[in-house]
Amino acid sequence: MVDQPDFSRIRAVLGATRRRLRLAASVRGVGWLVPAVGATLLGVVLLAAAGLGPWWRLAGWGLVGAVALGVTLRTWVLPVWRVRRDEVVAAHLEAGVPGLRDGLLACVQFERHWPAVSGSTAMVVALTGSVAGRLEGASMQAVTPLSISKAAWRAVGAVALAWGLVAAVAPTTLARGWTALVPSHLQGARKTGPLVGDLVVTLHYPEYTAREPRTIPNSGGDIEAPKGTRIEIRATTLQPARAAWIRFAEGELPLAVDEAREVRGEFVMAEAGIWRFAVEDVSGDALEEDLERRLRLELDRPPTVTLHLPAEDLELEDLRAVPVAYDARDDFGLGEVSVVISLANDVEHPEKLGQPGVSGLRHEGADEVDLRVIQAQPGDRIALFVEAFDNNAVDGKQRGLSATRYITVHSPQAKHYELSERLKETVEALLGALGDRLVTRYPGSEDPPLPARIGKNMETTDKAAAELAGVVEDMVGDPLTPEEVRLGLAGRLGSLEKAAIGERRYVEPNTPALERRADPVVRRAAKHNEEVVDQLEQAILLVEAMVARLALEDMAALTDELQAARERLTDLVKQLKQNPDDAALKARVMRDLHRLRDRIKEIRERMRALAKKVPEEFLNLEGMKKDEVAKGLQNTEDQLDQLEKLLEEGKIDEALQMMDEMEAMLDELSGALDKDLQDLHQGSNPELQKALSELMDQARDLKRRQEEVGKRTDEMAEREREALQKLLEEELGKKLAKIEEDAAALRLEMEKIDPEQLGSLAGEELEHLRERVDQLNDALKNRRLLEALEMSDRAMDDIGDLDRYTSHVPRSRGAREPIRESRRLNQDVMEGLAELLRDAQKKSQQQGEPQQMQQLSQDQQDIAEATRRLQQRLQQQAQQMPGLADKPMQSVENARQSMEQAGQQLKQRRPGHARPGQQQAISELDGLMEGLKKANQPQRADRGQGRRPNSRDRVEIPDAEDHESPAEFREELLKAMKEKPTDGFREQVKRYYESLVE
Amino acid sequence: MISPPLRLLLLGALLAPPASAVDLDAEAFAIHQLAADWQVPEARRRVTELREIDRDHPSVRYVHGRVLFFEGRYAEAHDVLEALVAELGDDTPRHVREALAEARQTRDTLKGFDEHRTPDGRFLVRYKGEDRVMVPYLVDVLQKADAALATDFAWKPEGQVLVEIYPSRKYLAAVSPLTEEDIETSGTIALCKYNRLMFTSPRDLVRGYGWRDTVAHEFVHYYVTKLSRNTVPIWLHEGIAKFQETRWRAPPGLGLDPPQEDLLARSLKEDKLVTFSQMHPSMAKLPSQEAAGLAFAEVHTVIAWLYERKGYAGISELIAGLRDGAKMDPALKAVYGFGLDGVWTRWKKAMLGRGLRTFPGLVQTSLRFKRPGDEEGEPEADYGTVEDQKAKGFTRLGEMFRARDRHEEAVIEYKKAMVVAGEGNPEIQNGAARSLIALGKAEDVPALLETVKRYYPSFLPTWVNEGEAMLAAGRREEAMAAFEEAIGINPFHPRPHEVLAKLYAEAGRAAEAERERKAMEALK
Repeated sequence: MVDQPDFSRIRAVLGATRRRLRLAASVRGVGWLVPAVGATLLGVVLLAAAGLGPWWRLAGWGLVGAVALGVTLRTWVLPVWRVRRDEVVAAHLEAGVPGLRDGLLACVQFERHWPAVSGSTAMVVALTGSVAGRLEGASMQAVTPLSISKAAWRAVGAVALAWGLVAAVAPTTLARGWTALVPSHLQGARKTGPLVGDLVVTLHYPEYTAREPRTIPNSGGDIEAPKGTRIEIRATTLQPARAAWIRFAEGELPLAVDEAREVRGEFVMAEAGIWRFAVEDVSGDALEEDLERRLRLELDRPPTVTLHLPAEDLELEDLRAVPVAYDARDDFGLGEVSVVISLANDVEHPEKLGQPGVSGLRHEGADEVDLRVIQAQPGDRIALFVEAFDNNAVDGKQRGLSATRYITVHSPQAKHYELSERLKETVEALLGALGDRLVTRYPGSEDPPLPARIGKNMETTDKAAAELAGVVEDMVGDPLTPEEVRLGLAGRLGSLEKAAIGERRYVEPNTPALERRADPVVRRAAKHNEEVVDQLEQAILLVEAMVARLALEDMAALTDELQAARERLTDLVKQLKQNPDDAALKARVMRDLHRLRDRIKEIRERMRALAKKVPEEFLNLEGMKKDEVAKGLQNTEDQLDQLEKLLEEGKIDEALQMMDEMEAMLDELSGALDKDLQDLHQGSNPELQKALSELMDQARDLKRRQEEVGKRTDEMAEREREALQKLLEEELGKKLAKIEEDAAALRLEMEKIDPEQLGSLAGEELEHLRERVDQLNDALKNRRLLEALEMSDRAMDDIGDLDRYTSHVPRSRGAREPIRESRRLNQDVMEGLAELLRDAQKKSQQQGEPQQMQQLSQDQQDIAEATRRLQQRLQQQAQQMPGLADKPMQSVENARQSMEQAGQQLKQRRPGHARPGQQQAISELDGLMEGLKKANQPQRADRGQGRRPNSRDRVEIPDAEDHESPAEFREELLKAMKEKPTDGFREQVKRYYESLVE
Repeated sequence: MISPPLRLLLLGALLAPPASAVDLDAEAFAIHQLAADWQVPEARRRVTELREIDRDHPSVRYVHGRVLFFEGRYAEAHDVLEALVAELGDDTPRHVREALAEARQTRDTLKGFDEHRTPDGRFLVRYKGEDRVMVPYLVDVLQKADAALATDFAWKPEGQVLVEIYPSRKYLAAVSPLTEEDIETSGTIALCKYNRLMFTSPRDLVRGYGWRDTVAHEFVHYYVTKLSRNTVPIWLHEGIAKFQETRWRAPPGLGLDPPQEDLLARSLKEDKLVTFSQMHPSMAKLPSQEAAGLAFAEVHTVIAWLYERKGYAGISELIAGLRDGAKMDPALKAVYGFGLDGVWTRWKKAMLGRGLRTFPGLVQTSLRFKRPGDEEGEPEADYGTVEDQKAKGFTRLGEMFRARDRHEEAVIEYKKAMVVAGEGNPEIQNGAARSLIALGKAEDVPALLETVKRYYPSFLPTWVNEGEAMLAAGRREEAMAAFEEAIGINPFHPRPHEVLAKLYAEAGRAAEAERERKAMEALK
């Protein structure tokens, strides 16, 4: 007996599972159908609201239907259809029920072919039983859950949110769209006359308008209100109604109906249009008014701003506060008003000065605006206007602007450039005059006659000279023209005019002779012409050189300005690094950056102009020749572009690095211009250079001679000092012994003063005095008389102080007598020492070398005389070279005086006394040479703050050799001697005493 | 110290099969030596054989790349070396990398150059853009020089001669060890190196230069290097080149130009000569154009002096001695009977005794290179040549009047300048010449330019003005000669071509007229 497999158990499970799978597909299908249809419908409604036309109603619904059908097919029909086959259901179960492996599928196939199966029947029976058992034990809920997927839920949520948002933000749009899609139940309503009476409209204005609500009784329905106004409607129907609506051009608004007659509702004013009432009467008929009630938008206009001051564009001579007056108005109310200023070419980075007290419909303001708030600089063009915002909270604030006024701050540079241009133009006039003269033949042809030709030449020369004179005159008021340029031109002009006047003075009275072509007169006239020609030639060359010089200096100044601007910008960028969120600071950085870029453009333009106007003859502008400077400036400009980008991106470190590169380039440019200026300066006035060189040679020669005399004086003084020492030891021993006794007594007297009787200050002073007296005794013992005199002198001061501190202190009474005695003893020591030294000096002089001394004195006087002559020459040159008038002149005067003083001392046979004067003279001659060197540098115009420090200006640091004491210093020393000398003076004091006693 | 090729050979020995490596490396080394001595055809033959044995061996590939480079086949050289470097990776010796860099740099620099090969295949000229104008004139000089040098040295190097014209000094600096500064300082604008002639186009200079003698000068170097197998020291090299540079147009023994004679005379007097050792490693490394000029004057006269003794036979014998491995002193003694010191002292004595002239008013001029900002057209006068301030001022005024077409006034000012500076200043004389021509006084020009023509034979304006003056005076042959000289200095000046086209045509020289017309077309 063979068991039959029980397939029915399996089939039952398969059937139940199939049903459950179909149910699950239905649930999932619904889950996707809702969001898909919802999203499509929203889109269709919004497109309908956009006014796609009546065709869209059909198409829109068609689209919704298609989407619904598609989703249904995809999520329900197909899954349901797919599970019709047992194999599919079996596969589903095998995947969900553990342990089935592919046993279920095998059972399904065994049943289909049973009993014609290969293999063991018993095995089939067993397998069937096992599979059925497992299936029956499995949970259908777990294997086939009936739930909507999370994704579908999320889609439902998203679509619901979208609907909610649209409904909240644009309810009318939604309503309009829906109305367009769904045929109104009022469609086909019968047109009729007015349906309501006693229409009351209440307007609730937006809050920003600050208007009170307004009720319009017995309104005809025409309403004008600002956008955002809430409009409340109340009316009574003329006949009983079951329902009532307001119909707009698109869409309708249901109204509440009370007691079948009173209707009310409200809507918000969004746009202009028409509206009308519609009702459904008690019999269910729809009625609609055929009259049009109008909705008009009351426009909210932007503020209007009238700028009263500045009334027109301004041109200012300097940076100053600019008065601003304005009047701002708005139809509903002003929110804020600002005065806005910016660089005219950088309006993206303005500075806004908010005005206080702005409210209401009108605001009148007056202010003074300091242009420096945007770091305005001379030469800047500034844009100024007033900006006002209203307080429209519905559509956003509206902006009103006044007219823009442009303020140009004049810079001395602009005038200076103009002057340079004029100077350049004089070259043409001068060349014309020169050319005419060069080709004038004396006597030449008779037609035109010679006097006429000469007259014409004089006229063109006068005209050219007058043109040049005009420029030179205007240079007086131009701070940017260096004085030496003006003086140089004035000097050359003077020479030209002198030659021209000389010619005129000769020609005019000799016209008849010239007409007769009298030979001597013609020759003299020709000679005068040659003189004028010579002056014209020199004038042209000088003017050309000066044009180049000014242009170079302008460029150098611009470069300095660039460098200064770059430094400012670097500082600002560093600040920005610390405060990266400071918008005002960033705006300032950007503004400065734009300004810097403008300046670079300017300097490039100037350089281009310079390259055209300056002949290579005058310049050694390697940079310009190679175009490298221009390229460098171009690079800098490019760097600024990158810098701006870096700053915008907040890459501040990289920006700072870029600025360092810029610095190096500008330094290079500055150096090149300095050198060019120097070359030009030296090349443009060779005579003056020669004169300067001669002055330098003479000064050098004087110094050499003075050093030689100084050396001889030193030797003589040394010999006298040795003789003095000998005298002290051999002949003046007794006097010295007496001094030593006094000094020793002085020390003993000090011991008599009891420190306990003194106050703390006086006690300290006593200690100091004792120390000093010890030094005095020590110096005497070692025969250091000068030091002894110095110590004695200082001790006198200490005694005086001690006396002062004790005179009013009762307990110090016992100290007064020893103090008095000490003063007497010290006085004796001082006088004794002074007398001793005088005697020694006298004796040593008597034993000296009178002839050599006389010669020395004469040589010193000769040097002083040569210095005086140098001084005269310097004075002459100073008229053409103003740089000579200051320090060099003072130095030569000081040198001369010192030399004369030294000469006097030598005359009195006091070589030691002569040495300070000689040293001073050498020091002054050094100063003179330094001054001449500086005068040889091109003198720069005083550009105020813009003046650049000249790299060749040296800060004078005294070195070890600078011990020669000038007169002021000596006075200072004497003064210090009267008081208590500080340690720093000690060496100088000693030196001074040496000079006194030698 | 292991030489670069040898190091590669060592590397090759490590990488290649031991049995064949030794032979290959030794042969590669020998080929390197040949290439270094510019025996390039021989190197080519041997490298071809070597490649048939083992073309993948690193040493073979390296030497192949080098030979290609010396043949002027830069792109191929680059590809071969690049592949080798890629394969060797970090083990690539430095000199192989350098060779690759050199090939790459040269290839990139010469990208876009055109070529002209002479029909006989002897010369291959590479040029760019407008420089094609020069090619016919250049080939003429090269062929004449080739013939003359082959006769003088009784020997002719085999193979094709590669000549490259560079539009600017930047190119020369890019493909040679010279920097732009070296070039500008020393005025070295041409080189003979890497088995080729290289020179900067005259269009890179404000007023051109005597490029024909310069090219011929480099060609002499080419001969000497090959003949001597690169064993000749710099002073001798430059001396022979200087002495022979005019052989394409003149018999041997042409004297020094006045500026060089003047310079040498003054330097001899002050005993401030450039020694032979100071000329090493290159004249281009001397501190100034003046120093380089003096050095050239010295070596020129040294060779002239040697030539006077034993002619070309002596010079060739000296070169042969050096080539065969002799040191300089023995080689000199073998030919002339004294060594290098003897040459120096005897030559100096001879020069002092010769009474070299100084030329009053002569100023030393330097080559003026164009700057990026320079405008085309007639350049502004170089006032640097006018030392005296007064003369400079008058010259400037002359120029100002001339620029305003007031030529009568200009001539007056120039004449004032001449009173001060003499008649030997090129700027003053030519300024005056231009104004005189404009005034229709061309007949005064030849006399005015006589001195500067002699003093500064490579000063372009002199020849142009001379040509114009002769043309105006109807002296056609002389005008033709002057304009030909002008082309020899700056072939990019259109005026000489314009005039010569007409004059040649009138003289029945159709081919030359056609050449000039073509040049004019090319310059448009």
